Amino acid sequence: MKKMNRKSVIMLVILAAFLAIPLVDSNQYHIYMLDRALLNAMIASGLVALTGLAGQMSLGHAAFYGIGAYASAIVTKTFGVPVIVGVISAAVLCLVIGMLLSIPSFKLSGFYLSLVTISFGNIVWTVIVNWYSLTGGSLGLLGIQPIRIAGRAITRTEFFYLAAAVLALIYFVTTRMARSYIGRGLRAVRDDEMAAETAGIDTKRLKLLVFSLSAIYAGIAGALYAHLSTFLSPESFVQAESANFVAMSVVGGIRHMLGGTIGGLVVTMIPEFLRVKGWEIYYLMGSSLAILVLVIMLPNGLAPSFEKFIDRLAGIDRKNGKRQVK
Amino acid sequence: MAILKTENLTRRFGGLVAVNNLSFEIPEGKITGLIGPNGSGKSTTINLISGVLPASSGSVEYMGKKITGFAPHMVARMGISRTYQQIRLFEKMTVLENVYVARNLMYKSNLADVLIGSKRLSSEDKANEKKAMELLELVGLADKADELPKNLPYGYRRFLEIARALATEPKLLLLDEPAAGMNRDEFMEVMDLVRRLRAMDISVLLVEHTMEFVEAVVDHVVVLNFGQKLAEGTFAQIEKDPQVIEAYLGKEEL
Amino acid sequence: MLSIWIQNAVSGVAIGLLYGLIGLGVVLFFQTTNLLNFAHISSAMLGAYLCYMFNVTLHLPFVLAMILAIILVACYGLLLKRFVYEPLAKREGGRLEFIIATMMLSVFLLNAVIVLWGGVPKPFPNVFGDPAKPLIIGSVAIQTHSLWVLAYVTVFVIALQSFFTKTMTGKSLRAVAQNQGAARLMGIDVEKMLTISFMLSTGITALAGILLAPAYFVSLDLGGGIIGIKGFAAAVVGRMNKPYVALLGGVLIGLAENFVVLYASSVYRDVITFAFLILFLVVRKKAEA
Repeated sequence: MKKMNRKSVIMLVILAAFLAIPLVDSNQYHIYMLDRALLNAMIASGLVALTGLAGQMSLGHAAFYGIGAYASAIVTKTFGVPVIVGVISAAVLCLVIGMLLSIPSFKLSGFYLSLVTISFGNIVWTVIVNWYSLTGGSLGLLGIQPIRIAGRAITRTEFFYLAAAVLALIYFVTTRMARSYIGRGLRAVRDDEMAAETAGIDTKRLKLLVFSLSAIYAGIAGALYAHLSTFLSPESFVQAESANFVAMSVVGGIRHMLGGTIGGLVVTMIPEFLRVKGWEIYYLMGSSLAILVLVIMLPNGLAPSFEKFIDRLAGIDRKNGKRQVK
Repeated sequence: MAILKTENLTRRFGGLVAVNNLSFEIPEGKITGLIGPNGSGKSTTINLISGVLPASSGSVEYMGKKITGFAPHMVARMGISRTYQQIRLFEKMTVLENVYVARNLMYKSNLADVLIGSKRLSSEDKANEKKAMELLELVGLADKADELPKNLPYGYRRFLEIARALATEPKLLLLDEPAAGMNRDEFMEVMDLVRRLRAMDISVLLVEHTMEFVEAVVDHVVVLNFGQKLAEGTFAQIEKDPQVIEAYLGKEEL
Repeated sequence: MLSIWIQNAVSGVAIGLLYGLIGLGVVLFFQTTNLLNFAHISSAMLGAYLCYMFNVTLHLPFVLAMILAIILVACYGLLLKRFVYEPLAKREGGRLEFIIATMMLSVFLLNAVIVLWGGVPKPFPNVFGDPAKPLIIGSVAIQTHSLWVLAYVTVFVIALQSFFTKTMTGKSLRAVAQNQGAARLMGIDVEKMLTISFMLSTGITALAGILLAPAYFVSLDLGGGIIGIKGFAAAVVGRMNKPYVALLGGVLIGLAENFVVLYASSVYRDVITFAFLILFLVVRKKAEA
């Protein structure tokens, strides 16, 4: 018991240190990148649930990020409603579209499903680019209202704490679900869908649930992004971004509850560290290489190693065979 | 009284008719064997009854209700469970979890209960986990509850599958070649387990190749050939049936 | 009117054959490894750039440049197996990890090409004929490039088929594709066959890239997403296990593209690929029900 408490204390200390960063580092660009990292972590967490927990592929998740962003932007601009209404509209829209995307998963899996999700992502992007009157097309959408508090726009630091709170909520919801009978059902679907069905598990309903959930997370992240940046361009929602989000979930730890958070933070920040050194031309090469190497060396992601490290600090000695959270 | 009845059940795969106008009954509370040479449609029949494959025509009636075309999880919820010839377990879940997850259909709690961590959920969890452990004890796997299925000996993987099938509290259990690949000891244990099922008031449809098993255990046999019913009766009766002997000609098992 | 049809049909078939060639590479790879390489299309880009370098920068004769480029890309396939596939297999990384690793690899290669050759598209030398001087038959203008593509692909397919039916290696590959376990029991060196699969699929794609370059320029587009998806779509038409049907699938896509641009708008050119994909994925599943 005491050792588990020690582990919780260590985790809390790390969390507190992380939350203290904006108070220590006043560089606005750094804080902006942290804000972006937190938003990416939300999306990656949804992918951990979808792919790690339920075994469903999605290589087009940037579509939900984009749908959420444009939905919130357009709703708040057109109707002058507060940001929270925009975020809720984004979530609801993504819920519905997420449910629709789950339908191909009833009959397809693996490679074929990933192709459908890629097509979905590209189709959404094409719609965004071509529906000029609604989205501003390639010229982008400007003048989106920022989140306001006490009559003024919130600072990037305040956004950081808001995003951290939302991410914490997402972590809480996902963990609760993963550890319950629903989580077990999702894992059964992942491990052997047919056997799950004949064991009485309604696999279709579970897929509907997990697709919508991961879509909602990405939609909320998108909505928040729209109000952080106040400007949207289709460039942010191309196929490469979808691949990036999946990379985050894999690098972070596809089957670990902290995978989305760690992956979102690490993958967003890697290019930034490489950019600083004065080797600008190479930073894109470098960051993709870094992620490539990470995936090859640690296919289970960083989170399990991170947890092992914390366990050692806390003096917990786990016999081999202790599985990860899932 | 028949717990399950098929009527002119047919399944086509393109030009091939795997199951052809099959009509037979599974008597309640008894063990019924389903035998036949390779390719005679035994596994397909199980797939049809359990809802994994849709029927091309004909019907399946369970306890007086037509269940043809029902989704597999609905069939399971109605009380029909099954195992697979090639053993399909949840490899990344523990032995206990494999059985525990099959209790999902018993839950009355929903997503809201999960999010708020309600009392209803925790009491259901406790009860279902307990039931899962009991089933593991029944098949002799209680001490391996936290193991992964891949670390179990082959025979025990089969027992785990059977425990999982029992978790849904079926009234009819479809066993697809439970003795396949077993060594002698495991073979005796499986036979014993199947007999105990009858004592638990569970009807069984047993697909098996090993005649020793079938003969020792079943009350009633249905023989298939080329997707059609060839003969039906007690084991002693079909054993002497000239058509059955001819169908099996060249096979050592009969 | 008819002449426009014929022109579009010929160029559609030619480009389509190249999409199909890429799809064929995907199918061959998938059959033996059961994996998807999302950096597949990078081989096309590498092939085109290397060929350009050998021919234009180093002034080697074109055929030699082409052969060298293909060989080099096949060697890259070897490295891919050694440094991406094998470490993952050893650590029990599954299909998802391989997909992500190859996705990152394609980004890496794209950026490497920018660093080495710059991001500006380069014109391909007119070895397949001058686009401004097509072959005129009656009222129909046919690009000689299309004819060269037809010739190259025909020769290649014949060579490939002989390889598969007449050589020991080819037959061993087919065995591995059908049943890896049985092949191993027959004494076939499965690891070596897998390596050959890697090299074969990257090499074939390099050839496709070189032949595509006159149309798409020696550019990052070759390694970008959309042509790769067309290759995957062709592979899906080929049900992931029929290489020559994939070739045909590519032709269908190439034809459909041309006619969509002719009758609708060029905006929808790429949408055709996705329509094909979704159609064939749905149809495929219905056929198996």
